[in-house]
Amino acid sequence: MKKKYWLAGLALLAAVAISLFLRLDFSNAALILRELRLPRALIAIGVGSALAVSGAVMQTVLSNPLAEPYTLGIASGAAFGAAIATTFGWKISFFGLNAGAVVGALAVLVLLLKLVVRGQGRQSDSMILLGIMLSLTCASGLAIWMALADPLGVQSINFWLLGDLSRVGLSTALALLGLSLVISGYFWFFSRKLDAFLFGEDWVEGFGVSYRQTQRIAILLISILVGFCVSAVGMIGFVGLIIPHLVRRHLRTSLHFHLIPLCFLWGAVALTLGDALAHSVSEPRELPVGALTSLVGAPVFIALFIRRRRGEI
Amino acid sequence: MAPLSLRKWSVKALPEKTLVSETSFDLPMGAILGVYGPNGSGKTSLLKSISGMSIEGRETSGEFWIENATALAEMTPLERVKQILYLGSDFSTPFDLTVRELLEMGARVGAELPDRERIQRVVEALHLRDFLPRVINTLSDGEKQLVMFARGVIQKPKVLVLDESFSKLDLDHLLWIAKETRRFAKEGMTFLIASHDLNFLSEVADELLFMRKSIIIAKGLVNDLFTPATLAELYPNLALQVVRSPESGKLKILY
Repeated sequence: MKKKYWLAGLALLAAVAISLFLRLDFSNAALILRELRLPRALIAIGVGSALAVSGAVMQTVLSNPLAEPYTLGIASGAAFGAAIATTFGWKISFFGLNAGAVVGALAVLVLLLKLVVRGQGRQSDSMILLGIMLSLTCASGLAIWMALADPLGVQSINFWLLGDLSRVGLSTALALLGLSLVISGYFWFFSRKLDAFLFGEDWVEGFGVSYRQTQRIAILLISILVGFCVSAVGMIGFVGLIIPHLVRRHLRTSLHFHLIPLCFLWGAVALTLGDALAHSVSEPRELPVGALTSLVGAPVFIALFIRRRRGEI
Repeated sequence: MAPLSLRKWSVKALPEKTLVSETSFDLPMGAILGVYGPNGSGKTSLLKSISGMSIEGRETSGEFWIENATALAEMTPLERVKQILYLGSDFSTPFDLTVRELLEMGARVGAELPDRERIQRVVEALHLRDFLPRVINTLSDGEKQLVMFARGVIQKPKVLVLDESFSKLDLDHLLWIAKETRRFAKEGMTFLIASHDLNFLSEVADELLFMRKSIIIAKGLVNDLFTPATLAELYPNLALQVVRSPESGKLKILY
């Protein structure tokens, strides 16, 4: 197990090095590194880790291995909430923007749980279907809202829907990284409570864990985490789906004591590399990083879905 | 030892359907009670409700206590499962998890460190050693039931409720489980076992409880309940015979 932490740690160092130095213009190295690349690497670590940990915890507490913030509409809800907040002039206020995003994420998550008939969560794919519909609803709402209310219109729509790590300054990056560390640490500390969810909702309390209370806290924390991520960098999909799956396979366990920290590390690696690719592959043009993760992630989702249908996972 | 007691226990499915109607019984600790009744007689509603498994749209009333623990409904889940743990007939997980991990999860409930000695002992007693590294989803239904039983015993509640938890076991394992259950009961664990196999219940249980149409129609020793009169009350339309097993000396039912 120790080796797996070393491997993940080294991978993260390598990813950060690549992100910092790939295609670096050395005539202006100090300035570019300090002002552009360092905040970017840090925000990638913060958002990547947050999305992977949120995905892992969502999959557990919703008893659905295909759950993640993006496919279930939580990220769209956050983006919609944040977009509404910006047009009300809350953009200057860090808290106003994030509050809008967190409320949006929480609203979608709570609505989703109300819509899914209790007891059908794991067995049926209806949760995923409903989530995707909620996601489309929020994304469309966002697009129309922005087209009407935002002077930058379409450009802002692209930011929210496709994600962009280049706008974030050092202080926001550090704040997000800190938030991701604290909330992931909380989930890690209570990893045994999450373990009790592995057999589905009916058996949670048999392990001495309160179903409602634990699920509520997890949902609130995930909404906060996703809300802050989305309001900083827009929507970035599928990190929360793929990383937990790969880490479970790599660890050969679903217990959270190791799953949470390793999802944190590998999520950070994935987004740091993804963003390095996005900003340097066709310089000076930038690829939208969210489009990149979806391009890889959506086919993986399909593969997982088919395997699940066949009863293999 | 103070007994386990149920007083005027009712379960209603809202708005107006009675699933369990004002049932009462007492049981000494360390006893094995077999619960029997036709489908829909209220066994599962009774067992789930006394185990504190809340089901939406159900309302329970009455009193239930285990030794000096009353008001189980107001306990935290952790306090409650130390008193009583409900296991059903199947469980599954969409995630990969080994048998060893599940058993350790059971052993960790309410304890900082898992009691490895107890895991070891239960695993030996139930011949589960080869199962330990296996992934739960790859087990057959019967194997899963053995593992679930092991987890329940390892978790060590005062009362273990087994609702159809042996329904997929073959005869050999069934008789083996009956013997092991009696051994765990001798160590002080109380069992409430619901099953549709009357002959298994007569093998394992100290006492039987017959339910029919939401009420308890009889409770007592196997010898007192395996009589033509009681069986006729349970199944008015069936002609059942009672014979004594030459092997175990217990009464069995022929049909």
